[in-house]
Amino acid sequence: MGAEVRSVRLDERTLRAVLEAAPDAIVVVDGTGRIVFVNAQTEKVFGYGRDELLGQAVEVLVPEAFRAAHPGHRAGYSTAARTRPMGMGIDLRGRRKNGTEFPVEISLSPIETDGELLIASAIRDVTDRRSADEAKLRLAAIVQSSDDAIVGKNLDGTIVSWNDGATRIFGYTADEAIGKPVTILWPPGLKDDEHAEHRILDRLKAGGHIEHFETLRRCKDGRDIDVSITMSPVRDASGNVIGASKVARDISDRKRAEEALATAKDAAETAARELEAFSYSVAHDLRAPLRAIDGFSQAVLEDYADRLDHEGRRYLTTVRESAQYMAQLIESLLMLARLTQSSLRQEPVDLSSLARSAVARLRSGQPRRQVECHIADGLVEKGDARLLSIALDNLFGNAWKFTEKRADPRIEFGRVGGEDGSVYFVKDNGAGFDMAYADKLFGVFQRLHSVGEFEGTGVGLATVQRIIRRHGGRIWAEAKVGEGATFWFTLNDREPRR
Amino acid sequence: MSDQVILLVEDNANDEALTLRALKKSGVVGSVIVTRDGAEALDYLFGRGAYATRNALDLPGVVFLDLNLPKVGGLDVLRRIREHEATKLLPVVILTSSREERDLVAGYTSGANSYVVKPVDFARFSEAVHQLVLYWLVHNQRPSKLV
Repeated sequence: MGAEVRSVRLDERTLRAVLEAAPDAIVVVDGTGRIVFVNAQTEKVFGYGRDELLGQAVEVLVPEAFRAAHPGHRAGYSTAARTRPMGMGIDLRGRRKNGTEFPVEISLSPIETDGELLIASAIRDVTDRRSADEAKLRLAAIVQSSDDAIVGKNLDGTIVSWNDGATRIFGYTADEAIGKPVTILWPPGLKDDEHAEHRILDRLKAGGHIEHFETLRRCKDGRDIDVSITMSPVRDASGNVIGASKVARDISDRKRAEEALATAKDAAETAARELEAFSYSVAHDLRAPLRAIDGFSQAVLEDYADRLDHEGRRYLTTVRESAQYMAQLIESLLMLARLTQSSLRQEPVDLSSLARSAVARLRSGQPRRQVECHIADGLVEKGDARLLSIALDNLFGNAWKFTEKRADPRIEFGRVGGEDGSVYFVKDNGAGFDMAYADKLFGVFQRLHSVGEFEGTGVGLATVQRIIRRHGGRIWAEAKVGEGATFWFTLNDREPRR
Repeated sequence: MSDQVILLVEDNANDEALTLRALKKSGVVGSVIVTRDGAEALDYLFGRGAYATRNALDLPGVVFLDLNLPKVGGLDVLRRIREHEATKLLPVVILTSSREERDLVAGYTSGANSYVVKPVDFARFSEAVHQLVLYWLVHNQRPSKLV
């Protein structure tokens, strides 16, 4: 016994009521294209009052660009009228009273009444649906074009979506991957990971948000790569978790860079420790034999003076001088090593006063020398007073030393404002040097004069350069043989190295 | 110059000879005890081991202590001296090659009375030793009983 099919004929009043309630705009035109009926939704969708539309050509609702062709289409329809959607495959558009246009879908039905053919059209504004479709396409394009692998999986762990990024990273095409378990991407023996991913899935099911972890994944060609994975839940319309979306980024390069960096850091720290141990050993162990060389030479000079002739005593004196010179070298090297070990202070330093102290020390060491010194006042710069004092001691020490053979020795310290900031200078009128060797000035143990000419260890300017560089500055020199030298330096060009 | 004993703790035979020579120049004769590592120095001070027959109450006037020593290092020797009731006031001068800041700080922190860097130049070394003897054995006053 089936349900009884019941059919009723509706009177016009009922029909009108149904049409008024329809969600689409319904427009009925007569054989000449005049509007004979519109429903309430038509007024709402097109913005016209009912009175404004009745009796008008239906083309008033068509965008101007299509108006001319419309009567032709209408006539064509009338010759083979049947219920069908209008303009299949074409983006149809309607025109509101205010002139704006909007995407529509139109369904046409012929109505025979009293021998006249009326055409009823149901017009649906699809603006919202279109923009939703576009948004979906845009999102899909973003997913598809992402450099990251974006993989969807359902709760069983079966792959349900696979973008181009996933193909690039893992090597499987979408066809190869979709429908397979996600475990095809797991390196064998990565059991912990299995648990981790299950735990994460459980948490996502329980309403968790996004989980992030780094792990290994196996590519189609068998390579294992480091990936960073972000998992987020995928929900159905009612909010139930139905799967997970996994964004995987290939971080092999980053991992390799991190490892290389860590290795380099280790090596640098080891080198620093070794250097420190080395300096310490130098300090202790190298001085002792020098003391023996010096001390026993002196003992021979004292105890066996009567058995030595003048030349023998001179040789022993040379032995002593050499031992003492080597002790100075060790001292300078240790100082140079310590410069990089101590941390750099950053406070205002009065360079003028440091320079005056340097000169005072030189004067007290050689009180009989008359050197004209001009030191500009108020040269204050941010830095480490102890280190800058060592630098100025060295620069003034050099100027003092190399003006030794001049009758009118002169040293000047000042600052000039350059385009990029201040440049300091220590200028002397001493022996100078040949600019051809300027590149050797700042090397350790580099000397441009023989020890016989001017004494020194060849470490001073290397020390100065190291101090200036630690202060984020540069140092360079200008000189002419017999006319003097000028050392220029800047401070704080760059962020200092602490 | 003084009848007080100097305890020299020095493992380097050359430095020992040079120090003895410098002490001799300062008029200190026959009253220098030399121990060649930290353990021996402690044995001497506390009257143990090879020095078991020694009267441990009879303390030296001053200890010249090297830092880099075999067995027990100089700083450890110094700490044990300061920990021990009988020796805690004993004058100890660190006499070393090292002018490293951390050694200086560790030396004073551990209770050194002076810290002297041995100069390479023997003339200056001699002068330093002479000054030390003069200061610690002649000018400096210490309690009659160190205990």
